[in-house]
Amino acid sequence: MTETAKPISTKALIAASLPRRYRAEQRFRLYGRAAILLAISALALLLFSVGSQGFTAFSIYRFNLPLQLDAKLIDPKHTADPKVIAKGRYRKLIQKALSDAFPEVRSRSDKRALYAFSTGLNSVDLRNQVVKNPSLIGTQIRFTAPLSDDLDLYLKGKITPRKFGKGDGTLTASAPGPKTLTLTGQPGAFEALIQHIRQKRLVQASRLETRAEKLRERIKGANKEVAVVQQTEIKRLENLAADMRQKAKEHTIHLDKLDPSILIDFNQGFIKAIKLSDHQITGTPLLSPTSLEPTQNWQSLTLDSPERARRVTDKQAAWAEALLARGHVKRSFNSIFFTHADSREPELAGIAGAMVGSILTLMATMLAAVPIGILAAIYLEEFAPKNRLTDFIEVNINNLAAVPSIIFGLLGLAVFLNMFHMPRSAPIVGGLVLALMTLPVIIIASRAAIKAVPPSIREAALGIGASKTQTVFDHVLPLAAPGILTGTIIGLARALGETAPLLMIGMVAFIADIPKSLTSPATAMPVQIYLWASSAERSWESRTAAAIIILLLLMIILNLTAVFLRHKFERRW
Amino acid sequence: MDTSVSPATQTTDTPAVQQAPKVQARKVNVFYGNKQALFDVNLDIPDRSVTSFIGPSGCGKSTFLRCINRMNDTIDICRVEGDILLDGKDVYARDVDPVILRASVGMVFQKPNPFPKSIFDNVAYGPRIHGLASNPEELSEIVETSLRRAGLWTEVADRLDEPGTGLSGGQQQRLVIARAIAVRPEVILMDEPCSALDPIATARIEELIDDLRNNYCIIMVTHSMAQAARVSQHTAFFHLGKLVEAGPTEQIFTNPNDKRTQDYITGRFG
Repeated sequence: MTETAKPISTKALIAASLPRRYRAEQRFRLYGRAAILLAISALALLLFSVGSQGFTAFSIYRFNLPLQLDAKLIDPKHTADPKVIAKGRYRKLIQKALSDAFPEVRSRSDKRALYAFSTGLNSVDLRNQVVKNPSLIGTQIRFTAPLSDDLDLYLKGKITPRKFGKGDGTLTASAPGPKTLTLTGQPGAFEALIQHIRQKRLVQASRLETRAEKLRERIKGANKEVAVVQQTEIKRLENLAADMRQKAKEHTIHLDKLDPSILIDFNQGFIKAIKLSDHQITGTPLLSPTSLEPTQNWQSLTLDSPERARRVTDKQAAWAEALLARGHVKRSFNSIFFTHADSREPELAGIAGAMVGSILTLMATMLAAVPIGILAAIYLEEFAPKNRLTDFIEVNINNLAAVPSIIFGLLGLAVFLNMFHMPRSAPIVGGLVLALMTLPVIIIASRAAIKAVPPSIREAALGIGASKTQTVFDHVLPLAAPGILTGTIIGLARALGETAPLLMIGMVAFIADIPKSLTSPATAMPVQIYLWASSAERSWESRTAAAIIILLLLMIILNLTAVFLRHKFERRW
Repeated sequence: MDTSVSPATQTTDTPAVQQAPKVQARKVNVFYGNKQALFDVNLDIPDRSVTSFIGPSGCGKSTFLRCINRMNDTIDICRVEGDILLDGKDVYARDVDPVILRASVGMVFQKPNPFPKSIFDNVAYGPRIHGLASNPEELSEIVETSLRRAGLWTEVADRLDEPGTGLSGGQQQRLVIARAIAVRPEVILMDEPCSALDPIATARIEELIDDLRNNYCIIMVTHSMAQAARVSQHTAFFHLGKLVEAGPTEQIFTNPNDKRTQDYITGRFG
């Protein structure tokens, strides 16, 4: 019984343990899939957030206006002297062109608001055009320049969403006073707008109530004096909320400073609503309509964030909408971003300076690190005697690869700038510092690649009387080339993305010119991203993301080159 | 040492060899670090014949072979004592350049190791680095004669541009032999040249070795007793780092002096 049972029991044991083993295997696969899924979704999230942010920076709104190159403002004495022409009052010319587009804008504050459509630096561009071609003086040209960043953001819907509502039925207008217009539509024409305002007010009220509630929670344990102060704040919030709820019930809505702005586009004019009822709107014209003829062709524009909470006023919004409708403002590809260096004005800032800086820096890195790295690797792997000294060197190379990059920056600062007095902020210094950082990576990768070449090839070459050098350069190096290339490119890609060491040697400065040589002041892409990311204005946000996209693209190109070269050389051998 | 006849004197006794030995070893000791791999090896190897080294794994026959063209120089921890004379001149002498030595003492390895280059370049590499050809025509002539001698010409004449690594194992080994003879060596060392090949390819290589015997001194390490018996005129038996016995193949296989040789040949160990 036992003799026959034994083999069966072995099988049975195995069979019994099988489900557990398979379950373990399945569990492991599940973990693997979960890990991959997590990694992919994290990557997708990153790409989506960067992509959706940066996407808007690739297009820009430009205004295109007729501009009279008035000789009185450029060269009043007709000297035709380039020096005089260069000193013309170009800013004034651009301002006049903007004024001409809206002749009804009279008051100083309104004019200032209108002139904000064009940044002051646009005058430089106009001056350059005129200096290059003085025969333009006295003629009318069409001047194109980027709209200032706030208005660009407004038109992109980034400041507050531009919600248009198609007008329903005929709208008639009457002017009871000089600065008042009454628009009358069919019954229920403004019902949707009224509902929207009511809802907004209720949301606002409940928000205030939550705040009051939170404060109340907080003062429970606090001392009396604080509690008394907070008590009045709570009271104020609650009153406001109650007020809001009350106002939400109004039959005729009186819009106040906390409400969204409602603009009615009527006969090429914009009227800002003040009093809003079922079929009638009373408001002030922000931009006068061309006529008061009744029209079916009207629409409403709702800007949810209250006027005082945003950087673009209702008037500016109306002007921007009008320019857009007239075709004087158009959205187009943001070529400035790819051809300009950094600027104080986001609409004139570009990545080109940083890109050229990065390329120059990387060139310096490559020239310094690649030959030294590969030769060091060859020597250590093929020629150097194996003794304590080479062991010590090897350990130190491995350690250097793990040194934080800012340390290399400090080293560069101390050695290249302070000892050798090399120029500050220059790509050559940045390149050398990055070369120091990349060297260990290249050496380690190259040594691994050389070590991976089968010894039989070396024996074959030595066996027919090739010298050591001939063996290495004729046979070992070609075989190790794909590995060396891959390691080198990955090292360089890392250098391309490095910020910290460049901060130490002054490549973090604001540089408004595209660098021309290895010694001219420059910045690099990651540093540019860092600089923009720490800027306050909203428009930098999208430009930061756009710069990240470009940097990532460069990285991908570099890494694809590595993969491509690897495959190409591997197939040949 | 316990052999009655010294292996060094034995070869000179054989009537087949009249001229001076091509390679002579005198008291050769080899160390890998602290470990001694060869003990006092004395051996004469005649020219224009095939000499086989046999013995169990790790007995030092490959080590000894690699001493003859100083391939052991590439191993850092390896140290060679004693004299190895090629045509009466010590190959370990100070004024001998291993590059020149290896050009006259070619080597073929256990695993075929053609360069990952074209068939032509494989054979042409040696002549090219040594400057044996003054013009391209001369070079292609050397390549052709070498390939013909290695019996590979008819098989590869129309595809000299193809990579040498694309040939079959036997063809690769013949390519490697062609590469070795392209630099006109006097001695060819072969370290188990057929152990990675099938019997048919082995037979072709053996034929080739038999042909080459007329022009070169061939020294071969083999694990196959039958191969040693078939191909070689002289045989040396190594055991535990010592040269136990050497002599004409016929004598070693039919009437060995040493008990260990007999045991090994009859398959009692090894």
